[in-house]
Amino acid sequence: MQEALKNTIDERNVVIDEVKKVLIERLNLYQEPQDIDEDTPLFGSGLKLDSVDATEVVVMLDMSFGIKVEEGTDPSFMRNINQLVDFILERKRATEAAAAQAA
Amino acid sequence: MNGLLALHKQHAKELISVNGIEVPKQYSDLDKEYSALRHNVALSDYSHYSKLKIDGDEAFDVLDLAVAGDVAEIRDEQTLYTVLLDQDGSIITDVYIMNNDDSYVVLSEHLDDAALMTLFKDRMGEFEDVEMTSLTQSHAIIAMEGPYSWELAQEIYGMDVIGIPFLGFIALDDDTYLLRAGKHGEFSYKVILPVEDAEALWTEIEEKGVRYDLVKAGLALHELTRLENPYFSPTGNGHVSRDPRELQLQWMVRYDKDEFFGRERLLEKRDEALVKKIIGVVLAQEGEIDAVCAGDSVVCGGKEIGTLVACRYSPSLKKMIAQALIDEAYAYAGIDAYAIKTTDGVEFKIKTTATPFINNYSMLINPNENSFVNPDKFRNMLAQLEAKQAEAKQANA
Repeated sequence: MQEALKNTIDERNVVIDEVKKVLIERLNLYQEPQDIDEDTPLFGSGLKLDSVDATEVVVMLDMSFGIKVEEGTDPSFMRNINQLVDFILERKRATEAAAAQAA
Repeated sequence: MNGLLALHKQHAKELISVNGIEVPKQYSDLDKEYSALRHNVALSDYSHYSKLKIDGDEAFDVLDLAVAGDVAEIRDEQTLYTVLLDQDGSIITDVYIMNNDDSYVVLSEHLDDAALMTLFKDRMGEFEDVEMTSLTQSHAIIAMEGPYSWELAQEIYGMDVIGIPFLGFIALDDDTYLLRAGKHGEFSYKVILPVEDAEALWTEIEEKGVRYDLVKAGLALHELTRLENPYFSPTGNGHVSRDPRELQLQWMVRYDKDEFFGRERLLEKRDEALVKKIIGVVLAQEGEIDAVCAGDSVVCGGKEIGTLVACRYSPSLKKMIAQALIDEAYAYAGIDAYAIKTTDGVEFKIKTTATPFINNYSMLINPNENSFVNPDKFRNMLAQLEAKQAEAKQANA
């Protein structure tokens, strides 16, 4: 596997592991991390989260990843673990780009 | 022949026999059927689902032993969507289990009546106080599906419709149920009713559906919609794997349940290293590409890392989408370093992605605030938000 690809996958894996760990802790989920697939729906079927849990996810993003979710943000980033991870990585890259520009 | 089937024979473009029941495969034009399902309302006949009523003091015990999900989770008027496994821990079929005051109705679209009943009988263990009655021939299923199907269903059945949660249902009478469940990401209401009442309901929905631009649809449509919103499908992803881990369907099983058919082997496999996994891929270039199809290789730097499982053009994304079975080390979303290699050796760049592939329009609809037919209400929450922002801007000017 090429170095750049390996780094991309490693970076994603770190965020996936952290998201699963924090969701299990904060929402008292019965699953083990390896039992939650990245495309598992968070709401409706899947993990069966509700609107109160959605607030917890927003708090989790702030507390664990320093990401504040503004009012009016398209909520589709909360559909599954993969989309949450995409959202976190996008925000991280935007922050890094802004910091590089300011430097 | 029942009245509903006679109507289909008169009007549908093509019929198909599934589980021994004839239903429309295509009603008119697939593009119109797709657009109705994704943007307003589609009307379908799902009578081909096998339907089994399970009663008795030990009905719960039999069901809980038979399926991999936790039947104890569902209370009255709730439905469990789960799977039946074989001894090897592999998925045989998905099933809906509706709890109607501790009497249960089981629905399955992938097994015929006799096969479904045999599976449950094989899983009865020592339980005896159970009565199974087939509703497959006696009952039809008519489905209203799409972002505004709740509004049409409300016209017919009243305000209670709005209160039905996903996987909830109401018993309309002793023999008729309104179930909110679907496998395509849009609002979906299935009416399970005696077959002699089906023609009248179909006609009523068709008439009331005119102002919702309702389109009658067949089963062929769902070969695409269930790829856009992946679910278990014996002919889609199920022909390459029946392993819940490989299919990313572990949420349909409860590892922590004490006992169920296939559990032992499932737990053994859970401890083994995962070799391959299904993930979503989207072709980088826009448009429909006939050269790409299931069976093509997925490559990374010239190395084969997987195979396309199912592949179609998504009108919503205007791109080809696919599920691919990929070597676990490479099976991550958000990667643009892979390509599809066709049998002719042509390569097409792809990006791996989270699934569902599309953001369903139903997610933008709030039944308490929006409407398709009421001009005093906004069609969706996005239009509502834009109007609110424009109003605030004007007030500040």
